[in-house]
Amino acid sequence: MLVSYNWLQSYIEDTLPDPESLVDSLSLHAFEIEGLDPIRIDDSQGESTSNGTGQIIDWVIDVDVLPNRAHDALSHFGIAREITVILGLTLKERTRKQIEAKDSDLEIEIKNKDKCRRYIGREIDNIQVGPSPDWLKKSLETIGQKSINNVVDATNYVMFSFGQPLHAFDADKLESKKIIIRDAKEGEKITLLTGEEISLSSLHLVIADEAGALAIAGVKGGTKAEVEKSTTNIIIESANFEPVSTRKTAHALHIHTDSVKRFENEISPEFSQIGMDEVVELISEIAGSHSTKINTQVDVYPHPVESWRVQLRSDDISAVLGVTISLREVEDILKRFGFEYSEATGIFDIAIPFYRLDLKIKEDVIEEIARIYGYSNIKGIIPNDTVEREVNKKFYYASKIRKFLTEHAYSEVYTYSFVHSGDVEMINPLASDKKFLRNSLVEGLQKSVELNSHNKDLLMLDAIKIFEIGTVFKKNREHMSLALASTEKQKELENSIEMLGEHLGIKLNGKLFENVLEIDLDDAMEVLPDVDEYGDVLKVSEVTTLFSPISQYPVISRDIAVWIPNNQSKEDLVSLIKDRAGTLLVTEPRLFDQFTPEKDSGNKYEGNTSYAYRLVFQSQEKTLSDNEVNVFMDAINKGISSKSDWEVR
Amino acid sequence: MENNDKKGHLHPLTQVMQEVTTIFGEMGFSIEVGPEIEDEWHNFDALNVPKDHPARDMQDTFFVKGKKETVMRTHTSPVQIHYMQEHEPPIKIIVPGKVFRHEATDATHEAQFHQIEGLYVDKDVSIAHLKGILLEFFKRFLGEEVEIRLRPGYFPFVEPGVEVDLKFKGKWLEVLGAGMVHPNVLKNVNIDPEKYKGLAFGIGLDRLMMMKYNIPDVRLSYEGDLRFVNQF
Repeated sequence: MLVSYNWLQSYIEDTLPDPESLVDSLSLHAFEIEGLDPIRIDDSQGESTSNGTGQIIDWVIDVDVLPNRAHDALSHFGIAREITVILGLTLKERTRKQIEAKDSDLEIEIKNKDKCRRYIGREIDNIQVGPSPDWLKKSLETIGQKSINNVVDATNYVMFSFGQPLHAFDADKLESKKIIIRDAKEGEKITLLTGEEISLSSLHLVIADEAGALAIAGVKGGTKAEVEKSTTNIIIESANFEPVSTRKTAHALHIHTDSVKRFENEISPEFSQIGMDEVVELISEIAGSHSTKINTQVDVYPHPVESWRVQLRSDDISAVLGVTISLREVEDILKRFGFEYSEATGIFDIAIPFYRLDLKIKEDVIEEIARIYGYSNIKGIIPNDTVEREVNKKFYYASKIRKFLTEHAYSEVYTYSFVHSGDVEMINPLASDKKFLRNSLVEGLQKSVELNSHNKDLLMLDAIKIFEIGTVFKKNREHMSLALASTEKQKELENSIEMLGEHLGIKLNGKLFENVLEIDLDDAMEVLPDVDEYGDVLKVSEVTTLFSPISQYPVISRDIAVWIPNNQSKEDLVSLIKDRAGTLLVTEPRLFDQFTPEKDSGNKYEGNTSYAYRLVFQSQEKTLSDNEVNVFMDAINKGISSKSDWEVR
Repeated sequence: MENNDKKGHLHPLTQVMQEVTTIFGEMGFSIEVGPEIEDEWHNFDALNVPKDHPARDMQDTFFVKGKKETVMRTHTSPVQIHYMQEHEPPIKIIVPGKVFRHEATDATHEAQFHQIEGLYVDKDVSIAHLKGILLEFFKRFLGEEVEIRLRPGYFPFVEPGVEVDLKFKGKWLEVLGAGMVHPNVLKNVNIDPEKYKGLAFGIGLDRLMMMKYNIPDVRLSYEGDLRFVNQF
């Protein structure tokens, strides 16, 4: 949720710390912060903006309020209250103007009391719909909201201030002065404020007049009673809708509004009164005149919420946190929250305020104490226990197999579980070619072999040998599978599996698919003996190599063979090549042939050895041309010619 | 790169997984594994994530066709449930495995990735233990100089819940979620929360791999490309 720094400040007596410090305190003690951006005056436009170099007039903070705190903190006031707890500040007292109200003739009927927990309606007559005052427009713009008109803006402003969604209807567009909260009729139509016509079902709750639906309860308003420029009399709704049904309706209709977000997370029906009082005051201020008449509110609240308490022993706190917090410290924290409590013999009996729907059990309250006390004040302890360690057979053998195969020239790959065909399908795949779970590792490995066989030179490999251990999914069974693949002959794979079987002490039965051999490891597990130690199967290299970027451009390979006297080392040749080949030589020169003529063979190179190296060139930035590589090869050839007893073959 | 004809390479994710399980093993955690297809009860309900609750939106889920309330596990936490259903405390397990999230992929997000879950249930288990275990782990994994800090976090299966940041190369990075096992979770597997407490944590293994080897893009991991694997 986006919040304005100035808006928060408006609820707090003391001066807030600077935005960066505020954000740090919030993130260490309450919420994750996803962003902090300045709002500046744009000199050329005279408008506020988040870009440019103009004077900073406000800050917008993106606070990640998660479902546990959406009940009380999806609002500026809620976050301001949280700040006062964290920093030990004081909230401003809110005073309300006395309103002289005339008796209302509005009638409200809740037909589905499970889904509508409270409905307050209040009519205001003789108001003037028009543009909002600047401060209101700016406040809404700062948090990314569009200004519509003063009445609609007032309802939004109060929602972002106190967390209570509100709605305003044009009272003269209703059939009669009666509002009914009922299940929609099957197929009942409503045209939304967005202009879209929606067909409803009986699962959806609507706000209706005697003729038809005016709004989808807690979700979105309709056009029938829309507040427009010509509107003079309005009915304000401040209601409470049940979270699950609001959520289901929103999901079914694909409508996600700020109102839905608050109701689906559940808010206390007690907020309805706060929302109504605040919005009536604001509307009369910005849309009212001396002729404006405010009617008494009509409040239907079938089952007022009951207060609840949580009991907590101070021992519970230290047991969960692993640190002793004194009674005084606990009391100090509870006072900062403003919780009423009593304490006797180390047992706290705490009255939870109506807005903290997340505080139901003692652990919930312990968390509140912990985060205000500060996790940084809890010292880490390594437990001293004697829990016996067991060996997981599956993990042991998978690791043992990996170790064996890598020791025998196979490299390990991981491929994707989602593929284009298989036995188990997803209801909601990410893409049409990833609808199914793999039922075998074969296809993934074949693709991998294909990809890697183009890079043999770069990989300095004569043959590609790979394996994967992963889960595959059959119609009614998932199991761990092992597959080996190679560019060599099938016999090679069969030999490798036979050796692996010998290593494990069992016979492994695999299935061959062209160049891939696959084995059901869950079957193998059944015959493999239990183990009670991991030994060295989990051991990995202690050297950490950092990743080097992979070039997207093709390689150019060149071979060079050189005669060198037998009393000289080939290492000299390698260092000469490396010196002259430049930075585009991406692998070590690779010796692929070596030949020494036999003594007295009559070969004119007797006493010399021929070394043949493969050189692989590649750029990170472009496709190399032959000419570019020739420059390096010429330099190498020149270097070799400069040695009197070396000769390029 | 060296000549690779003789010796193959372990995928860096495997190397990280083996190193992590070894470190936790030294701290007394047993390795446990579980299925990748789960029923919703194990993946959500038993973990105190009720049906039709916004908390379910926190983990975008793949649903399996033709099977009622069946999902690709969104985390390794359902293995906690399986294990606690079958074992009495004390319990000290570490669970590596593949998990699935229905989200668009980019350099830091994959629809499939790997997590490692830790669970420790005993009579005397606290947030201080959580902090101690995690700090010790990161010291052994990345070096003595690392620091960690706990911030409030929300995961329905823990209470209190925390986010853990790691100071690595001078920067604070968010690396894992953790907390004390929610009493409802213990009740769901018939463990008395008045008698036993638990701590749990879930670490993204791909994330650890990326940090350790300075890998910029998580997708490199799953492409079957030896130009990647054979670097390590």
